[in-house]
Amino acid sequence: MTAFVLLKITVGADTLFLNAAAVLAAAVAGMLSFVFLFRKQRYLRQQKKGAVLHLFSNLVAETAICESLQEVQATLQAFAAANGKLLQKPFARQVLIKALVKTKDEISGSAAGNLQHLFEQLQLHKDCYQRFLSKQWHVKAKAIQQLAEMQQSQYLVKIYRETNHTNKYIRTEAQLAVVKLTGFKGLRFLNIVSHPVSQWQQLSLLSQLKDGLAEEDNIRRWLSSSNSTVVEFALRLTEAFKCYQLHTEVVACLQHTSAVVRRQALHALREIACEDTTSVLMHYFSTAGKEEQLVVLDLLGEIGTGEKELFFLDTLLSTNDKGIRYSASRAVQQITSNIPIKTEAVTVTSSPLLSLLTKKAV
Amino acid sequence: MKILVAEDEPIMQKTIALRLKKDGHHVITTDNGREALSLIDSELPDLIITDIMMPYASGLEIVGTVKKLERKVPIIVLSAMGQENVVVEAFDLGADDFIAKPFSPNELSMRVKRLMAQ
Repeated sequence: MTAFVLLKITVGADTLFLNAAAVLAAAVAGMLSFVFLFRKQRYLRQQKKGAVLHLFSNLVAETAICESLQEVQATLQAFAAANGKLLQKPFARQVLIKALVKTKDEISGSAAGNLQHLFEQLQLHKDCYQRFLSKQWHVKAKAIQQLAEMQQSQYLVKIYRETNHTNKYIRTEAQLAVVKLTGFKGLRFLNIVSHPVSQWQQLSLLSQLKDGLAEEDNIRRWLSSSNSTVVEFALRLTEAFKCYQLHTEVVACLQHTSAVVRRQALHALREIACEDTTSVLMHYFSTAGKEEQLVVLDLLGEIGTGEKELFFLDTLLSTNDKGIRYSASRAVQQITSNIPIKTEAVTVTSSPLLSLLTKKAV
Repeated sequence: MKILVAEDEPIMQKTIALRLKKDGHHVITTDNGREALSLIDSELPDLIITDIMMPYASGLEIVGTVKKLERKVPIIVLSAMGQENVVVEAFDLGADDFIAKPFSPNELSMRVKRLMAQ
């Protein structure tokens, strides 16, 4: 009886084991099939994309070297005659949009104009706009980038509305797009943006504006924005475009609650320095933090020209703080090396203080 | 005139090649630096146009190698904006001209004509 029960248990266990093994094998086979099919589909898709891209790369290259818009039209007609159906397929149109945008980024002049003409003739902006309406942030952001790259100004108002979008990527692409489409005027989004403008974004915007003309009245308004990153960017603009008229507003930024803004204000003052700047800096020194004090000393060395600064620096040469002492002595050296050239007319070179300080600094 | 174009971006490569063919040049293309170096030996081009950033061997390596050859072959370097340091290095190595992207194919054609005239 016991032997019979043991045999039954053993047989039962074997069956269970076999069933489990069969289920496991089926699961593994299913997974392998899925992976195989997925890879195969991806491979086929890549092949298809490669073939389409090859066709379109000829079209794009031929269009780029056309010498007139009529020639572009003729090139397109010849291509459409052979590949008319392909141009209707959404997948193929996406491939063409990507190829056009990428190439337009690398070429300029009439060739870039030809590519834009091709984009418009094929009404590819409508495809981009459909993607612009997407709920997926990455699709929308990409569409904004493409519309801006292809200079589709008719979508400016719609893109402008996204410059304060809650999604960081959509917002930054929209901000870059409006600047790409309208230059300095595009920066009016700074009046309404409530989200931070990252430092990377500030540099990207600046690089788009390098050939533009600054609008000082707008920069003045942004210097008093409640968004500290807008103030920071306005200071960068002041620095880059050398807006001397904004000296007072920049000096006011030295009292800003944000340390980044205060530091940026010091950098801006370097570029727009006037005869009052060193007095402002020396006055600011006593209330500034250590890092800012070091920047102030560097600035005094760069823009200081006379005894006024040297008197101030003299008081710091005996301070206990090594960093301050070192920076002050370097500033003295810089000023003294500038003085013979800059202030020969006022005979500062003969000053006993100057020679004393030079010795001290060395 | 036989011109070697070394550019890894296929559409740009085709655009440059088509523009130069339109001017009546014979154009050889490659998308990587290693092949460019072997084509320089086998095809003996009269002028080389090379991108700086390329797989296997950079444009700078191509400039360096070509300038060591006995035969003088002018080189135009293509660079992206903001690569000033690399451009300076290319000139130090002996590049004859450079053109920054984005550039106009017509401008490139003019530069080629000017170099060939020299």
